[in-house]
Amino acid sequence: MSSFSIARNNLLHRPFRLCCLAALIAVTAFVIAGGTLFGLGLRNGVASTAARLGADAMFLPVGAERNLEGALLEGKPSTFYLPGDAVRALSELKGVKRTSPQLYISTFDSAHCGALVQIIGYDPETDFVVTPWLKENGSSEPGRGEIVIGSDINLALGEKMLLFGASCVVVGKLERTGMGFDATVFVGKETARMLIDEYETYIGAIPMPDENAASVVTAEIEDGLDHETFVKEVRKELDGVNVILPQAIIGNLARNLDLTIGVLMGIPALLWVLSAFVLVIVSTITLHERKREFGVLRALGATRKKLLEILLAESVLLGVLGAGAGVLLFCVTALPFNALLESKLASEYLLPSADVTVPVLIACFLLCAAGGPIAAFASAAGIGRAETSLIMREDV
Amino acid sequence: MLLSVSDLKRTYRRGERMFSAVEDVAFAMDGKDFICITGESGSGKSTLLHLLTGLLKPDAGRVLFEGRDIAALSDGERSRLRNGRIACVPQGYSLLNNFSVLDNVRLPRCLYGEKRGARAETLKKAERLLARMGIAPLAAERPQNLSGGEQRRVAIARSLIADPALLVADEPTGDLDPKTATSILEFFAEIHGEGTAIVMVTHERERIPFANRHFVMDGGRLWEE
Repeated sequence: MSSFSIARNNLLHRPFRLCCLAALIAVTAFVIAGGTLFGLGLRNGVASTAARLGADAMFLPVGAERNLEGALLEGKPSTFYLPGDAVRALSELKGVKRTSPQLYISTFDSAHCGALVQIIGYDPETDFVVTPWLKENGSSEPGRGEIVIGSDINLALGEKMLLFGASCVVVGKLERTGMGFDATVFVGKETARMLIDEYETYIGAIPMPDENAASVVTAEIEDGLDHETFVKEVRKELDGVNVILPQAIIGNLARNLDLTIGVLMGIPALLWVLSAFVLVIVSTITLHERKREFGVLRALGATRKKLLEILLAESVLLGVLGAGAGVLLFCVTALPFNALLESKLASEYLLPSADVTVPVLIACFLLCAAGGPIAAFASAAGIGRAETSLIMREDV
Repeated sequence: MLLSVSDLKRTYRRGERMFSAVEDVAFAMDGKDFICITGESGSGKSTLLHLLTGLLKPDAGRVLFEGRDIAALSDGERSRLRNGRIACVPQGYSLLNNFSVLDNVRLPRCLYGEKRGARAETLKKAERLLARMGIAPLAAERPQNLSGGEQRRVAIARSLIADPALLVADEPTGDLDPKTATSILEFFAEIHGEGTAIVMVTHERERIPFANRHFVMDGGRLWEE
C-alpha cells in the first residue's frame, strides 16, 4: 500500500467531491487549451500574412487601397490599373532598390469563368515576392496558358480552369496561407496579358490604359531609408499613386486582433487563478474535516512528510485526471472545429501546426495538473505545523 | 527499564490563561507491567499518553523509552517508534472509513512500504489477529458498518500488527457495554501475559483489577496507589 494507493483509496471514497474537482480542472484545461490555440491561430494568420506580402512597399492607384487590402487579406477579387508611365517612374524613384509589376484581374460569375477568383499576373524576370514562394512550395513557374492556384481552389494538378473563355492548366497548388492568396490564381506575364485581352473583350468597362500598365508595383526600399518619409515623398511627387507598406496592413490587422488575443489569453489565465483559488479553499475545508484521520495516521507512525506525500499524491492524481480529461475533451470536441474557424475567419486565423499544437496541449496539461498540488501545498501547511496531539485531543 | 518518565510538564493555553495538563509526573515501568491510570475527565490522562508516545513534546522533563529520550528524536525516528515498538489505541473512533477492516489492521505495516514477499505475511497476520479478536468474518467490511465494540477490537488488532513492546491505550473501553468492555480487557490481560507492556487510561475504576499497577491522575499530577 503505497502513498499513491492510499491516495487513490481516499479519492475514490469521496466520488462526488472527486468528480466536482476533476470537472473544475477539466474545464480550466479545456478553456486554456482553446484560448491559447485560438490566440496562436490568430497570431499565426497575421504572421503568415506578413511573410507572404514579401515587399517593403506596394504602389497602387489612389482609391484602390481597399481593393488591394480586400484582395490580399480576404480574397475579394478586384481589377485596377496604374498607367505605364507611373510604373516606369516608380522604378526610377530615389530610394527604391528594385520593383516588379503585378496585374490584378478579377474573374466574374459567368459561363466564361470557372470560379470567381482573383488573378495575379507577375513578371518572373523581376519578381521577388511570388517566385520565392512558388519555389518554397515546389511549384514550377507557370508558362503561357498555365496557372498556379491557391489552396482553396478545388482543382488538382493537371486539371483545367476556364478563365475568360481560355482553358488554363493547373501546374502548381500552393499551401494554405490563411490569406486571400488561398483563393487566387497566379499567372505569368504573358498569360496575364492574354487574360486582360479576353477580360476587356467580355467587360470592356475597365480598359487597361496602356501596355506597360500594372495594378500594383511591389518594391524593395534602400536599407536605412525612413519608411514614413519615403511614403510622404512618393505621395508628394507622384500624382494618382499611393504607396502602402505591408507592415502597415499587418499593423492594422494586428491591432484589431490584439484585443481579441488579449481576451483569449486573459480569460484562461483568470480561470486558472480562480480554479486554483477554489482548489485551495476546498482543500483547506477538506483538510479540516480530515484532521482526525491525519491524527490517527500520525498515531500509527506516519511522519509529517508521509502525510504530505499522501496529500500530494491525491492532488497529483486529481490534477492528472482533471487536466487529462480536459485536454482529451478539447482534442475530441474542439480541434475538429479548427478547420471551420479557418474558413470562417479567412486571413485572420491559421490553425497552428502539430509541432505547436502538441507542445501547447502538453504545457496546458502540465499547468492544469499542477493546480492540484499547488493548492494542496498551500492548504497542507497548517496540518504540517499543527501538533497531532491537539488535532486528536478530545479529553486532556 | 522499558519506560522511564521524570519531571514531566506540559501546559496549554486556554484563552488568556495557561493551563497545566501534566505537572511533575514521574514513574517507571518495565516490560512486564500493565499500568492502569484512572482519573476524571480533564485530569491530563490523554496528554500524558501523547507525551509517552511522542505525539506531543513536553515543556519540561523527559520520557526515556528503552533508554532513548523520545523528545530528542527526530519526527521520523519518533514516528518509526510509534510504527513499531510502541503502539497506540487512540481514544474514540480511530478507524479509516475508506479502507476495509483488514486493510485498517495492516495499515501500520504499509506506511513505510511493504518489502517484497512481506505482503502475504502481513495479510496472514492481520487475519490471525482479527480471528483472535473474534471478528474474522468482518475482514472485508467497512468500519462504518461495525458496532462500537467491533470497531474497538479492530483498533486493538491494528495496534498489535507490529508486535509492539509497549501498548498505549486511551479509554479502550469507553462507551462500551460492560460485557464487551470486559472481553477487551481480558484480551489485554492475555497479551500482557504474552510479554507486551501496557499503559491504559480509563475513568472507570472497575477496570483497575486487570492491571498489575494502578496510578491515579488528578489536576495533572500522577501518583501510584
